[in-house]
Amino acid sequence: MRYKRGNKQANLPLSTSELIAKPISKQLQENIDDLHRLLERCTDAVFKEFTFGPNRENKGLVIFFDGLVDKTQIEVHLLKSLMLELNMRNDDSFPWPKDEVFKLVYESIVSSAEVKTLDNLQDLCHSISSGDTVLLIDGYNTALVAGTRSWQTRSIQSPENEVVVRGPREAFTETLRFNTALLRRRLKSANFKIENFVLGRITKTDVVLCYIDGIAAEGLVTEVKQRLGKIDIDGILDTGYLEEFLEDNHYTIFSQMEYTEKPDRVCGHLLEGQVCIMVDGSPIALIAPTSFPRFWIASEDYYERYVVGSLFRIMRFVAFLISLLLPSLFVAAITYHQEMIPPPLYITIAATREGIPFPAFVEALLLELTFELLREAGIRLPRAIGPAISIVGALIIGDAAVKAGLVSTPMVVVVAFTGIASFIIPSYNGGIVVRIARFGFLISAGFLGLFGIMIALLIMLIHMSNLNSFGLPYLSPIAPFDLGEMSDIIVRRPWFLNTMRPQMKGMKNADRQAKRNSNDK
Amino acid sequence: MQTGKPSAIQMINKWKRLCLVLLLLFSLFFTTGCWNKIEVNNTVEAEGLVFDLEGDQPSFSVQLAQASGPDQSGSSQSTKPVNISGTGRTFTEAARKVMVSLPRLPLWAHAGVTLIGEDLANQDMGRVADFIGRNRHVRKTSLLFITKGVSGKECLEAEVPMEAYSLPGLRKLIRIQENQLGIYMPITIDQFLEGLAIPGLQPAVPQVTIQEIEGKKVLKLDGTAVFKDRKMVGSLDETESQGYRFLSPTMVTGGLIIIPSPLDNVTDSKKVVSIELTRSQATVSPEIEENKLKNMKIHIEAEGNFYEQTFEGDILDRETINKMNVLIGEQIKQAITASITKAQLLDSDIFGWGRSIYRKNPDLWSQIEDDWADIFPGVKTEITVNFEIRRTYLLDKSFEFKE
Repeated sequence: MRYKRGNKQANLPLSTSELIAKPISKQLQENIDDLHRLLERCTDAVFKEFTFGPNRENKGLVIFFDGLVDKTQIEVHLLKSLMLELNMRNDDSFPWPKDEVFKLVYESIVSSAEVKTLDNLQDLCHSISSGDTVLLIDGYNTALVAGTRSWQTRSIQSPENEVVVRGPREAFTETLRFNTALLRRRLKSANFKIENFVLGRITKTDVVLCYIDGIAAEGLVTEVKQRLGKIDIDGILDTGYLEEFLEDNHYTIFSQMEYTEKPDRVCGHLLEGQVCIMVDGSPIALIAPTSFPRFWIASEDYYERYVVGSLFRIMRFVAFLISLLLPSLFVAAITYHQEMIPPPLYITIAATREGIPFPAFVEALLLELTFELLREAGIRLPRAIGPAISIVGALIIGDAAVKAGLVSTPMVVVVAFTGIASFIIPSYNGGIVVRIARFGFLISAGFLGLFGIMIALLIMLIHMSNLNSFGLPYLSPIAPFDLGEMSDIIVRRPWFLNTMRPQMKGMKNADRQAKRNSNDK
Repeated sequence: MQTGKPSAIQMINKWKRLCLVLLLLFSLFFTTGCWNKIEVNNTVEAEGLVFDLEGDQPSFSVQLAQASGPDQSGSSQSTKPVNISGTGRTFTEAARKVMVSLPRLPLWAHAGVTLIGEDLANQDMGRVADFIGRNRHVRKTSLLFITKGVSGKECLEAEVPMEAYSLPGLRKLIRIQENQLGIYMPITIDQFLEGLAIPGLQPAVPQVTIQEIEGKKVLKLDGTAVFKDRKMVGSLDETESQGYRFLSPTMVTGGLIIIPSPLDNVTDSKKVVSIELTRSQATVSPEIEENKLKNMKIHIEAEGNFYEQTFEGDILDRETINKMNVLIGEQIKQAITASITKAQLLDSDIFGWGRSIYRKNPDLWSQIEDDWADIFPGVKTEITVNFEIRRTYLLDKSFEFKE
């Protein structure tokens, strides 16, 4: 607002916001003036004015942002064609229609593969910001856009967070087109739809919604589209922005969408009727809907043989319980329910706790906090200092604290074991929930023992059963219980028995094998 | 205005309610009060409980495990138990009197062994029954022992070889003994209290005595105390204890049986055969005729392995094995008869025959229940044993010495 007023005081004919809504003028000079005003202080904007045609009577302007375009393409497909090759063919066999220069240029001179037209400044600015090159010709109120996008990108690399032993090793990058190409390469079907949205008033970020038509429930797709359409924000920098706009329940620690950086995992989810949302500039794809039990499914389960996959899954489930409950169970047992501990073990624990100044609960809380601290520090620290922190952490906590008699060794073992177990949860956002909830359990165990743990568990389960993700109950298929789907949650169902997709509301095509639906090619 | 005002009040109420709930939840942390919250540092693990009579005063002793400090925790140094006792008018008072000299709370729940002094057992077990049955800190699976010839407190001074704490050592001792030797049967507090409470069943409890080995006092299992109602009336010796074990209604596993040589030409009493018992199951059923107890039919179904022979001669052929089976059966029968004779002599139905009559014919039992003490000594028995030798271990023939 302030800038707007400032502009008015400068007595300019149109403010920038009004200017941008302007259609392209027939007068090239007017367009040039407008664009110069719009793009003033944008030092990376390149204006190239030139003349072409017989007797150099036509004036043209090429405009693009330096760094976003492939200059060779501009030179070859636009400038060279117009300025050089046109002159070379300037003979009788090639009449020059003075009235339809633009049509001629559009149809037979510009040799770019991707050419379109537009007629207002707003689209023009969006196009050049996206890396396209715009050609304006004097006397025409239409601009020609040539696709020349090319910028320095990170090449496709192996995933950093979702490491696999067996299975594809490609990961998404920051460029949306590469990402959709990675998906399209795996889903060679016309039913695989990629719908485009532009979100962010300033960033004008491309957001795509991917799904397989005929598998994903129509209601789900419309709902996601509707929610996407309601977003009005200045900028979208990562899928994380969208997650909070799209999720059903905001006041919860449980994330109701999965995310991944692996295209194969996205395809797996799409084939199960889920939808995927990707954002230009983010290598992370959002997957919706999801339910809590799905967080301990790793894509690798499906690549490894079913026996191995099933065992890993059971182990992961146990590890989930350990990382959620072990410290609280330990604290509850040694402060309230000593009779639960076998006598020899109790002597050992008592011996190590002899002379420890803190109550067990405080000790556990301190160690857990320290562990979280180290973990977070390990992520944020510059790579060169990373090892140093782990050495300091291990030395201070593992050794010095015990030697100084500040913490007892069994507690260190419990916390370390819990830490290891928490890393086994394949999805990071599923793991964070466990990390947060663990403290809740610890506190309730410290004050109320096993009774407290039970209460906390009940509260957590009641809360979770209240959640849903795009209509999918958050605890499904545990609650509401579905035996058929449970067989692919607790264990991994063998592929030869995996004839049905996970059922979701409104899904039409549930068969994976044998009974072929015409939509599912 | 009028529509806005109530909603504002509602808003305030909503906030008030939320704050109240949060406050209540928060105060929960401090109101726990938890009389059962206790830090490990303020506790000490009780290894065993001992009940005695000092004169006529109940006396309670407890064996405590000394938890070594963190600097010693690495090495497994032998830690000495701490024994503390107290006396009082009741066992509860005696047990709490321990606190005059102990700054920590003993966790009785860890005590796997409960030792009862012979004096107390001879006088009246009813004095301690309520304490061990009612107190939630006394573990009901704790094994019960009665001292023999010594007081419980004296037993605390004795040790069990290889074990840091004598009373838990006793627990291991009786378990391994039962498996390897098969003489004494452990009994838990639960089972003992059952024996005190259920008509037609009397408890029998293994006994412990002190033996001097190279100047050291060592605990040793010796005999089984037989109770009649609330008093200990006598004691079974080894053979009788073995017989008592064979008559246990549950399957017994493990044990050793020695039989004389099955060969006719070898009659030397030193030439014997060892048989390892693998399992034995007794079925005891009362035979009732014309509403009268005729006899108790006892059948033992047992099997075991040939373990050792101490003489020359091939005895591992089918015929001799069958002969041995019969000999073993007789050996078992002898032990059983000995225990029955002793029990009938002491007039204590430790086998629970009264209960099996009740189960088979409740009407008959209600008639004879009051006279059971008179009837039991005269009950006739019919014992059959079926024993099978199954394996002969590494040698399939008798050892053949070179000429």
